[in-house]
Parts: sequence; structure tokens; C-alpha cells
Amino acid sequence: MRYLFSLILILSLNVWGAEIQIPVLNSPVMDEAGFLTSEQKQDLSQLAYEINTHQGPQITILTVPDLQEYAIEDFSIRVAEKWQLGTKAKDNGLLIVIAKAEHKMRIEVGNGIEGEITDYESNQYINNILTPAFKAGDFHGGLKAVMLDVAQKFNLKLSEGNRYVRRAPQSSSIPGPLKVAFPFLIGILILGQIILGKKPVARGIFTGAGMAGVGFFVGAAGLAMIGFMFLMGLLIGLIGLQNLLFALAAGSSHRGSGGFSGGSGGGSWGGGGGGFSGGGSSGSW
Amino acid sequence: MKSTFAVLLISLFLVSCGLQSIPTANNAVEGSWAEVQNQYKRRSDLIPNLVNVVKGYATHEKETLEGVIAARSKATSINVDAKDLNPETMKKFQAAQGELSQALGRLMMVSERYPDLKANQNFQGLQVQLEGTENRIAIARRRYIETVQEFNNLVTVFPSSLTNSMIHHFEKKPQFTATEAEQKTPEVKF
Repeated sequence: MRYLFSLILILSLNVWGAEIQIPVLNSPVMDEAGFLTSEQKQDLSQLAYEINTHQGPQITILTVPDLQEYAIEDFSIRVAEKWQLGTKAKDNGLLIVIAKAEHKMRIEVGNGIEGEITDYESNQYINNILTPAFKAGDFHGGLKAVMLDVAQKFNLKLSEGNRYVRRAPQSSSIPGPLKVAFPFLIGILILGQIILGKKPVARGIFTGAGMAGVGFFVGAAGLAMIGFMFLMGLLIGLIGLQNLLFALAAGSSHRGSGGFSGGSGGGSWGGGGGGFSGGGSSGSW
Repeated sequence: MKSTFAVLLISLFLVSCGLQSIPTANNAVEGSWAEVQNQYKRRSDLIPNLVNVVKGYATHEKETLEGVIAARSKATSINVDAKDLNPETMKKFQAAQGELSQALGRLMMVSERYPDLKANQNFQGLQVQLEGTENRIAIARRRYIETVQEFNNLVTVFPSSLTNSMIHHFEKKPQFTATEAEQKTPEVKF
């Protein structure tokens, strides 16, 4: 009996050992091999979310330490089959797999977008963008360039400039004028609180006027900006600074712990039943 | 109480008997077979362009080129409808496509000797497409193999085999086999 039991155990282990290990999909950037910093990850995730919400393809990046002795084509199609990126109606998934040990990569293109991103185009991405970038160690730059180009192929009107960068926690990405204005803003907010104490309406008008003034001096974006600043100030004044700061703190800590399911980035990231039939291209760096 | 038990028993039988699952699996096989043919056709469609480009540079490879053309026309002449799938037709189909794979492999090998050809953008594009098509074929074949496996289990393993022999009367579906020639074929990889 004991022998039988151990035989079953060995057999079942054997079966499991042959099975490919694929992580559970929960983010557009599954960096299992650790190529990216958390800021870079967030940046690429934001971009993937934005492309997806603009009806573009569902782009997902997977980096792995190794390919578990599979060929990269075999590995990536199995991941694609499990994750089912893209929607069932559009089959518009796009998977980029990068294997650290083998120095191999593959772009796996969903059934429905093989016309927009042909094998030749994936090949160009790999040869002209990813390979040189990866050789230089710039995984983030290479991947972002490809994603932006894909967005362009689908004629997506993404937010102007670097919205994704600004959302990431990097102080350097705050535009110059705002940097100057920021201390002023804080000053006005605090001043308003001290002078007007517990009169919300007066406080609001004061803060609004102050912020509109800053907007004017910074000259960032004309009348609209000044109006916007005034309204913002009015709102802040009405709510009260302490309450606002409290809310912000709560919000940021929530975001830190919850990741994308926390709500700031656009909800959970899961496949929608998209099909793949092997379109794309492979390469190495 | 008694009737609940009977309903439970009957529904259990219906679930496991294959009344529905056998035709479903049959449809899956037909679908995956269509995809196999589709991807092989995609490969044949690439070949005229490929031959034309190679012809312009590899002037001494007439024989190889003719081999590809002949193998292509033979392969495209053999179409097997999913309903006619049996070991015989499968063998024919596989042999013809295998020959074409080999002829293509030879062509890609000789093209290595012509630097100007390799530098040709058109040729590079076709190479990439051919590579992608071979990958698609491999995937379509694997999916076919998987669906056939499931189907064959249903029609041969008890208890669904019983339903099959009484009601559906399906035959086992033929599988792909790696022929000796195929195993020796150099991979069309660049």
C-alpha cells in the first residue's frame, strides 16, 4: 500500500514537473525577471492601460528568469493561451516575452491584429528597437518605444506629452513653471487658513484668488489656466486644507498598497478571451 | 426522495455519457483541422513571391527552385475535408506537405550562399513571413493533436464509447505523426 502511494506521488510529481509554470496575470507588466524599477513598471503599466482604454490592443509584458527548457515560440504561445489577452470579439492581445537566461524575446500578436502588426513589423520592432535597447540595458526605453509605436499604428490619441510619466512618482517630471509655483501655492493655502480661520466661503475666495494670481504670474496657459486655478483654490478653501491633506494622504497610501486594483490606474488586468495563432516574431539580444 | 435520486442519477449519466460531448469534440476537431489547412495554405501562398525573389539572385539554383515549385503544386492539390479525415488521407496530406517543407528547407539553405539575396529587403521580409507561417503551422498542428486526443478518448474510452457505438458511430480521428523525413528536415529558422 505504501509503495502504491509513493508510486502515485512520484507519477503525479512527474506530471507536474513537465507542466509549464506560468504566473497569474494581474498587471500589464509582469516583471518576473526583475528588469525594471518600480517607477518604470508603473510607467509602462499606465501606458498599457491608456492604450487599452483607447480601444487599442491589450499589451502585456512578461519577463522571466528562464524559459523552462521550452523554445521561446512554444513558451510564449502557451502563456498567450493561458492569459487570453485581448477581447474575445477582437482578439486584440499583444504579448511581449523576454527571457533573461536565454537572452531571447518574442512579440506574440493576437489573431485580430495581425493585419496592423504583421510578422514583418514585429520583426522590425525587435531588430530596430528592442535589440539595440536591450543590449544597452535599457529595457524600459525599448519597451516604451514599441508600445508608443503600436499606439500610433492604431491611430490612438493618447494624452498629450508625458501624462504617464507625470503620474509616476518622479519629481523631475513636474514641468518647470509648476515647480516655481508650487511653494507659492502652499504659502497661499496656509496663509488663507491662518487669516480666515473657520469661514469656508471667504477662505475659498481668498485661496482661489491667490492661486489664480500664481497662475497669471507663471503664465502657464493663459486665461483658462487662471480660471482653473481659481476654481481649484475655491474648492480647496471650501473643503479646508486639513481635510484635503488628510484625504490626499489616505489616497496615496491606498494607492501604494493596492497597486492597480486600488483604482488609480484603471482596474484589474486580465485576459478577455482573445485568441492567438502564432503571429509575431522572435529574436535575441 | 426517490425521484430526486433518480434525476440525479440520470443527469449524472447524461453528463458522462458523451451524448453532447462527442459531437462537441467532433466540431473542435473539424475547427482545428480547418486551421491546419489554412496555415499550410498560407505557406503555399508565400512561395511564388519567394521563388521570384530568389530567382533574381540565385541563378545557379534552377533545380532547387523547380523542386520547390513542383512540391508546392503537389501540396496545394491535396485538400482534405474534415469529414474525409482518415489515416489514408492524412498520410497523403502529410507526405505532400512534408515534401514541400523539405524543398523549402533546401531553398533557404542555398540562399545562404548569396549575400546580395540575403541583403535584399524583399527577401528578408519573405523570410520573416515564412518563419511566422512555420510557427503558425506548428501551433495549428499542436492544437489539432490536442483536440483529436480528446475526441479519440471520448469515442474509445468507457462510458462515452458506449454512447458512440450506439448513437453517434464516429470513427477515431487520425493523428499527425512525425515521419522519418520530417524528423530529418532542417528547421526553417534564420
